[in-house]
Amino acid sequence: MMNSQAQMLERIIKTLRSILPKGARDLAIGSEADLQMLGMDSLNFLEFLLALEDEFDLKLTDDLLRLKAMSTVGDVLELVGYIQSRGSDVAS
Amino acid sequence: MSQVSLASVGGIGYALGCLRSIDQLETLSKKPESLAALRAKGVMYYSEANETPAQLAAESACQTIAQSNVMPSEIEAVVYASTSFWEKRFYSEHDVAWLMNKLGLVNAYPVGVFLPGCANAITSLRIAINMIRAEGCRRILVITTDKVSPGDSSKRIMWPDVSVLSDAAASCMVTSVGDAEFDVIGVGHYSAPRMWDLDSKDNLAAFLLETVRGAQKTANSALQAADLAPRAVNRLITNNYNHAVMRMIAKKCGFYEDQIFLGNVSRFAHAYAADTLINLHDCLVERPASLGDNFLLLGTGQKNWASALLRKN
Repeated sequence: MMNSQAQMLERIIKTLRSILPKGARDLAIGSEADLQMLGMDSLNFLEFLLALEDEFDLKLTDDLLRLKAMSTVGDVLELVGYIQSRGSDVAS
Repeated sequence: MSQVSLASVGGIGYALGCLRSIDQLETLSKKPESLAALRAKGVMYYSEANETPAQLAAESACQTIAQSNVMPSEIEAVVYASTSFWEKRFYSEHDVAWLMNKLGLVNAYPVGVFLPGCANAITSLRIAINMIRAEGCRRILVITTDKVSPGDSSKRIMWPDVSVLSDAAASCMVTSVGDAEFDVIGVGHYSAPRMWDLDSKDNLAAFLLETVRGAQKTANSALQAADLAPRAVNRLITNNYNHAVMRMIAKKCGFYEDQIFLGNVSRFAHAYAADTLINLHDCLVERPASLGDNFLLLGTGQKNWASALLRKN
């Protein structure tokens, strides 16, 4: 994994930990981690999306979110990486 | 921008069915994790009615007419809102005529609202306001009524863990400015047709995010129309989903969590569009309003939102 991608993954996991239910915050989390299995409910998921926008200065539009279902941390990494690679035409 | 009163609203009435524990829903007994998640968010009971939506509407409208000190013959229009129009098992084209006849509305004309879903009540209020301002009508009865199709308890659940649907009706009288308990000082609305194929099952992320954004835009729209900041609102009144979702909507629309009325979540959960009016009524019972107090009603439907700012007369 490229260094920048590793850093991005680290930031995603840090953001995720701040949203997770208390009991799940200390779990080991990698790119394969399933968001639902970590105890995320619909509200946690929404909070996570909004926190990702703040963390990466992004605007997650419905068009972007339709590109890929976000089941795992790796899915989130892929989407954030895609948005960042496209630059200012999709970032806020 | 100056604050202009658009019309007045008062005489809120409502009707619920029997209140039952969500534990009794067969579909939730098979999914204990969903039951536990709902209970953790304050959802405890739901309303199940034997009456048809039109019968629930009649019960509610009788309260509104009695409280409004208006003769039924003085009512010039009925704005009748229902998502249940789609449900042929308990809706017929005779329902509204039956209702008007039962209420003695001999000089009224019916108008139907059914597209904005759980924002129906506030959209109906907007239509009534416009009839008053554009046509010079003086007294309009607004009714919203809905019921879940009986027989399949899974239809009551807003998956994955959002709320439980309740059968209910609510109503109010919309009149000329200054004639009722509240003046309407701002309205807002927003529609997101690009969400037409989104739902919580197939794309939860996009659905949730767009739902919150629609609420933000619509709340802002009414606040801007009235030239008010969120802090100037005494209570935020939304649909009755669950504690966590309602707090999140409040926060994302710029309100403090304690500005939102949560008192009915455990009592009957989400009663379609009726719950905004029911929550306003019960909020006032819990804490009576003072002259000049502001209340923001915010309705969230499927892809459609509506808001109204009310000021206590």
